Amino acid sequence: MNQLSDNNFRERIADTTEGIVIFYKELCPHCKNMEKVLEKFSAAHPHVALHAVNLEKNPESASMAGAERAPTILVIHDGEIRASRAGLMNFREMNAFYTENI
Amino acid sequence: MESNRRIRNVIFIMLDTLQYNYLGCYGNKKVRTPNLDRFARNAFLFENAYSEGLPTVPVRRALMTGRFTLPYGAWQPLAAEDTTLADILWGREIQTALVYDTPPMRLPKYGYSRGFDYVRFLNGQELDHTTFLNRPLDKGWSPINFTSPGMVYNEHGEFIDKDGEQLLEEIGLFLRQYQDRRDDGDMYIARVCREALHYVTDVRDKERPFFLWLDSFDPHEPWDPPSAWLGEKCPYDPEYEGNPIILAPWTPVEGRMTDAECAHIRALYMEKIEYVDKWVGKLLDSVKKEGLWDESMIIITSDHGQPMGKGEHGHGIMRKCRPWPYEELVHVPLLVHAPGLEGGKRIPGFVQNVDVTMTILDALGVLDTKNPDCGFGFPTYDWQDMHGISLMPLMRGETNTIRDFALAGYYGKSWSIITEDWSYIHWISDDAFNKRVRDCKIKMDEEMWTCTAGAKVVVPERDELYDRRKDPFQLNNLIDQHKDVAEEVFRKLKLAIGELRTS
Repeated sequence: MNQLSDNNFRERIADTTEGIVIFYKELCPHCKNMEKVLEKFSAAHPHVALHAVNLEKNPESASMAGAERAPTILVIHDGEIRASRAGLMNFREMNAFYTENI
Repeated sequence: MESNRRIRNVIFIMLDTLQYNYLGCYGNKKVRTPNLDRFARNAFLFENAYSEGLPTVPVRRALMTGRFTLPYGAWQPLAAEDTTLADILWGREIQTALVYDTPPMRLPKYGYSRGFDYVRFLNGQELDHTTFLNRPLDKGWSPINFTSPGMVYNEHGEFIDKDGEQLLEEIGLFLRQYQDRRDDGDMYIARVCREALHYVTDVRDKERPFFLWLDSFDPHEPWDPPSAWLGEKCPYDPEYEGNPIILAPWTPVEGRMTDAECAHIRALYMEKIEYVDKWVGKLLDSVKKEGLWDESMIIITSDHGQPMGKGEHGHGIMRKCRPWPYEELVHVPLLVHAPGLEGGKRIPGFVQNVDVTMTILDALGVLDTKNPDCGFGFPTYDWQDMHGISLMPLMRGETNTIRDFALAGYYGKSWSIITEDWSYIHWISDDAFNKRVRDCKIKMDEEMWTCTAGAKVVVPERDELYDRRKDPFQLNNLIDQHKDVAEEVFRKLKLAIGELRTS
């Protein structure tokens, strides 16, 4: 999972053809659970880039993405944020969320 | 694995609303349950079995799919994407049967009989009692004589509320059936056990193994043992002077019913359990006579208990176990006869109803469920991993623990975690916290699964923490005295539910 920050968030998203971003908080139990889902998702979709942003340390990126809560998941396609959802999803829901938004 | 091969068949017996602590084998000294007690003495008795998402329907869904329902859904139909035991067993040598009189499983479009080779439903229980609406009622039978008039009418002889009026209508639907009862062989439990035996002796293909799911709605209310409709004294409460109370409103007890009335309801429930025990005992005897005992796993369990009064009897509520997850409602009996394994053991480790699903698959030799279709081009569409853990290693003595804690609750209303030392209740819905019985609203939103920047895990003031060793029935809330424990247990609960939500 690539760690992004306020310094490089905008550029890295612009460079991403297909990707997922998770805004997370340290020690957040929900984020830990969602990261496991993303690991499974990544194994099924190895071509999709996986980015992570610490919500508390990167307020500008969070504001840019409209991410107020952790975890928030973004779907990136052709350098643009196509969709955003806060909360938990299971593997099947995550798959659907991704494929419906690219 | 050698011992597994002895098990050819599985008979799963669900006895709805059978509270664990009303059975002799779980320590009750008053209720006569000799058949279940004998069964337990020679089987495995799970001392700490908990249903996860209550009530009736989600429990069936969890048992059929091996998946927790608590983070996902409440009282709802079996979904197209759910993969059930019957789905998995289809196309294999094992024949499947569902014999039941549990109407919630048969509600329109609910579909819980899906995939069974043989299905036999018996009419008459609650939700399905309207089948008998047009049957004439003998003049000697009047609904008000089967409940307490004080729960129905005020001092002016008017209905206290709509519940009182509906109660009499509901009792009338049952009386239309009871008027034709002559002895306990006419009870619902007797009929459904006879039908199950009919399947075993006459219907199934005796060359092939079978999986039989017997789902008896008894001892669910009405509290209608023979004394109630034979006009006799209840043997568990012979001094009681009032009418038999076969049904009561689902309300807080205070101001609506007396302690004596609550005690009488519990006495009728005890008597009813005695007959459930008798007819299940007859069925077990017949299974033995068929020569199936040494090749059939037999599982006996329930979905939940029932609130029937104050304190440990129901935390001040009468009838219907929603929406709170107290001990008397979520702790269930679980007995397993496993041929090839030496029974007569009591297993203290935590187990959940989803573990029963895996045990059935394990016993039938189809636990490898990575791709659980029968292998001939009929996929189990939308397969999702099961959450359950087979109980076979526990019964074989290979391990003492499969779970560190149990979870229980109601979708969108309450969550609970039960550890060896503590039990913790987290109220999701305001209505659940306020103990509203009938119109408790479900609350589900993304805030449950997220947190904001800078926020810490805060234990909600209204949550409850109990010392499980000293106070198993959760009567003395210690959350203010043990804030550190509460925080730790609450965090564990959130992590566990979130893990289920994402799996």
